[in-house]
Amino acid sequence: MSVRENVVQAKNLGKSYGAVTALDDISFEIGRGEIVGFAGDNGAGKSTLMKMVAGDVTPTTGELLVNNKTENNLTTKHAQELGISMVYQDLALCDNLKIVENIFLGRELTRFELGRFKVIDKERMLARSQELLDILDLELPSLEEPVTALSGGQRQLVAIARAIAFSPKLVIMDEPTAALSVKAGQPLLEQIRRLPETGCSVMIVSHRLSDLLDTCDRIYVLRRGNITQEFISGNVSEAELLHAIAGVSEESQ
Amino acid sequence: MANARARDVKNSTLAADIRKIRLLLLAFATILIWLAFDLVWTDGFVLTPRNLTSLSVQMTVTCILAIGMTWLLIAREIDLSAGAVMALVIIVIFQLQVVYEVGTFITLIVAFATGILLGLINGSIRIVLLVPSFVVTLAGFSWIRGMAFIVSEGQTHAGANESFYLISNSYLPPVYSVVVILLAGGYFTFKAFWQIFSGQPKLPISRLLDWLQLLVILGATIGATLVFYIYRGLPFPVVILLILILVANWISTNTTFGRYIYALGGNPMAARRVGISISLMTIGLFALMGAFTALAGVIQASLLDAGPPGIGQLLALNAISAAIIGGTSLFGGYGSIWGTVIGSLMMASIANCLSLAGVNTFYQMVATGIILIVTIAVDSLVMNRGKGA
Repeated sequence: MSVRENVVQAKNLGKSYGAVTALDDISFEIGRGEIVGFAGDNGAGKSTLMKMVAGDVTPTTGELLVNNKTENNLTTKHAQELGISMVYQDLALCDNLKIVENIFLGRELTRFELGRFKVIDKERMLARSQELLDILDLELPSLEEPVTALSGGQRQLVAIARAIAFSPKLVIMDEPTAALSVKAGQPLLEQIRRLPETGCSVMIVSHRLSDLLDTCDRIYVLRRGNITQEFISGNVSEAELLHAIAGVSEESQ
Repeated sequence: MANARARDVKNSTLAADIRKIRLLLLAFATILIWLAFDLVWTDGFVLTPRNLTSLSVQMTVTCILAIGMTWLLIAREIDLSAGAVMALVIIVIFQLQVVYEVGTFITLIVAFATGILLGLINGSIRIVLLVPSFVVTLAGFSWIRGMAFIVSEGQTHAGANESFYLISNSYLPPVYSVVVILLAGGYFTFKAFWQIFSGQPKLPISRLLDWLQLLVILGATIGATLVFYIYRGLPFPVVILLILILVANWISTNTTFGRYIYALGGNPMAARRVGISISLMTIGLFALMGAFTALAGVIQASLLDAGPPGIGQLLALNAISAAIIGGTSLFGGYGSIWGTVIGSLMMASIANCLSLAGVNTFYQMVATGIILIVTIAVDSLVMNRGKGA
């Protein structure tokens, strides 16, 4: 029997802010090339969980393993180095910077380095961005366009291009279709479904349950800071998922 | 193919065009001010090589501070204490040179150390106590100025060493000056030519702007060559300023440090999330502002050959004005070194022309205020129109 290779594994993770417990005793795993969804109501702890895996929030209890190594004091920079990228709900783009500058922000390709002093290699970054867009068949205007000039969908594509620019092992997506219409979200979901072809795993949070069911291999349901259920996408209906999120059992209906 | 799609899209953006139009308008407005005062009010004195050389020196101190201020403003910070820091640096210089008879080299090291230390203090208080830089440097505006009076005991010392005096009162020989100007002007002319003939698809308005930009660069190069060759060559403070402008502009556009300044101003949270250290960047920017202020202090002290503790009361505000007139946003994220240079040149030109025309200095302040309001009003109108408001 083959053992699944996990990119991320959480063992009894918890996070408290003073007296408030955001996450309590969370355990889950994400295998290589797997798309795993997290569903839950507002305040269920989904965003905290994602930020924890992205190194933006430190767990108070439990253990977080990345590539089978304990990484409880993860920072965003270290998470990136380990191959974890996140597409935030607010996209975390700098509107004043160009598309290419946003894609490479914090990880610029350089032609000369002296300690922290680094000279940017603009041509190589432009060429690499163009390759990236070609591979993903993403439709964006000129790479030298500032992000502020883009539509909501295009901005989303820039954030995704940035997340996958450095061949990540795991891409975390927080509500990737929230700012888009259902129709405009479809090409994006198609892009997400293609990510495992490159060996990349995806961790995705969405309020649109149909998006999760269409895209994910497995779905965890979070409720009040706990994982209450786990589903295989093909074996669950939208109604069942909704009931699990609301905490309503089939028998009680 | 996405490749073909990307190439099809206009390469020149409206935002970039608007910024270019703004700088060109400022440049032409400055030339217009020179011409008007030269022809109407000063009997042809404004455009003499002697006055233009003097004008170039007059803008040096404000422009050096405005360059540091531009970086701070782009990163959503501000330094109201720059004038006080410069005063303290000048006091330290004259204490060392006149009271303790220290040599010029050691004086320069201590002057820069003082500026950088004060910058580090400002930046550290800003980061450690999480106090807005407006408040931190407003406090600095007071306590650092107070220190200048305490250290000098309210006295104005004068008479620095000959070698120190020569820093701001010597000239690069005319022939060398011409070589320097032609090298710098030639480089930017080549870049402007390249923009026009690189074959990138552009809108007609972008093409026109590229040509106008080339015209301004060529005009500035030829004009500067004539002015500095005919009079005495490039004044040394202007050489220092020229080097600083080129280096600061290159850092802004070609290094990760420059890019992160803009990222900090555009979206600090996003910058933090990609691993950019906001604390380190902010403290570094304040330290650099301190170094620039020390440089301005050295030039001012050498020019004046005296160190009054009350010097530079309005300097920080002038530097902020120059940056804003040049297109730097008070809310961060936008601005350029060249814009600030043109803003500084315009402010210095107004002061120079009004003073030559025998107008009271109070009117210079009124004129600067009006220009600030006009530039901000035009910016606001353009931005609101851009948003469809």
